[in-house]
Amino acid sequence: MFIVLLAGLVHATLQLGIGTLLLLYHASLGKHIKRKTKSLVTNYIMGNGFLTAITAAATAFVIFTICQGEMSIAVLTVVVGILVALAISVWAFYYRWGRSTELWLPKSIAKFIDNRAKITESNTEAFSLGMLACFAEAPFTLMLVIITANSVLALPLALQILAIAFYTILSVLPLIIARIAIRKGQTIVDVQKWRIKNKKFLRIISGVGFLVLAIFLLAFKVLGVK
Amino acid sequence: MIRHKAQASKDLAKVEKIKAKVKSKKVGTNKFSEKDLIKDILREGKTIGASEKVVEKYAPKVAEKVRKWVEKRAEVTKDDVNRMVAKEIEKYNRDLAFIYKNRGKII
Repeated sequence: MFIVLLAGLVHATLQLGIGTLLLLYHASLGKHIKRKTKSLVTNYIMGNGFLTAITAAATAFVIFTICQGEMSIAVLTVVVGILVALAISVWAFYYRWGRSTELWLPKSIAKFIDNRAKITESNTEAFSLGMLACFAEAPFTLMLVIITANSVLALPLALQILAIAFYTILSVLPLIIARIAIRKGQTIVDVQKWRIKNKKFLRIISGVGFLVLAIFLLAFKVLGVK
Repeated sequence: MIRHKAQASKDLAKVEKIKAKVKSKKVGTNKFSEKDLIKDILREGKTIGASEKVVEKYAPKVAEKVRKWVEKRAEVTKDDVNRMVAKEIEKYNRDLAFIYKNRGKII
């Protein structure tokens, strides 16, 4: 369960979801009434959470089908290696250089997401925008989902569903916090200024999170330390 | 003298070739519109909750200054216009200037 908690927290430190949320807010506040914007944002967060939950559940099913239980130590060792590589990637190029929160995404994809956010009019489109943002972050989140799915298999059935729900809630927590903050009176400019100001901190925390997860897996799952 | 003329015509031919290459790589061009810029500033003001009446007062002034700046140049990019708008609007509203400075830089 601790691995699920840690993986969820690391997922929460990634920034594409919240960046796209701000784009949606920005596009919607200028066009629609506040009630409509709230509805679009809620659906965006639900889309993001839905794809995360579905992916975790599907991955657990795939792992169980292929490995007949949890992943073997050899596979876990590879996963540990990939997590270390992801930690270095986050430190090196998750954020582009400069005083902005531009991410590693190719410009064409970033522009596509931006354009989708601008033309989002209905709840369905907002929901699918949430799923798109979740999907676009997959190179960094896939390993987290795999680790979560693997850990979930070790739990009793009732707790498995709870664990996936817990991971999903943790992963969308920044979106929920941003929504509450904007509802309480903060502007999107305040949120974006916060992101720029704390960019280094977020980058370090993300990388450290991946590293801690790798060390934890190595110690308790691969080497079997008790 | 003849050598210099030949060299000059060669250089000119090179420049024309480069211009033709640059033209063919252009994605698209739009004419700058002061009206569209004013509408854009009003819309951006709405997103940050700025008073519409206050933004209506300075949006035309900013748009006029940007138009004068654009007229002095043959071509400008969208980023250049955003930077200029941010520079002019900063005197009136810092948050609005921040939005123009950070356009396309959120993700």
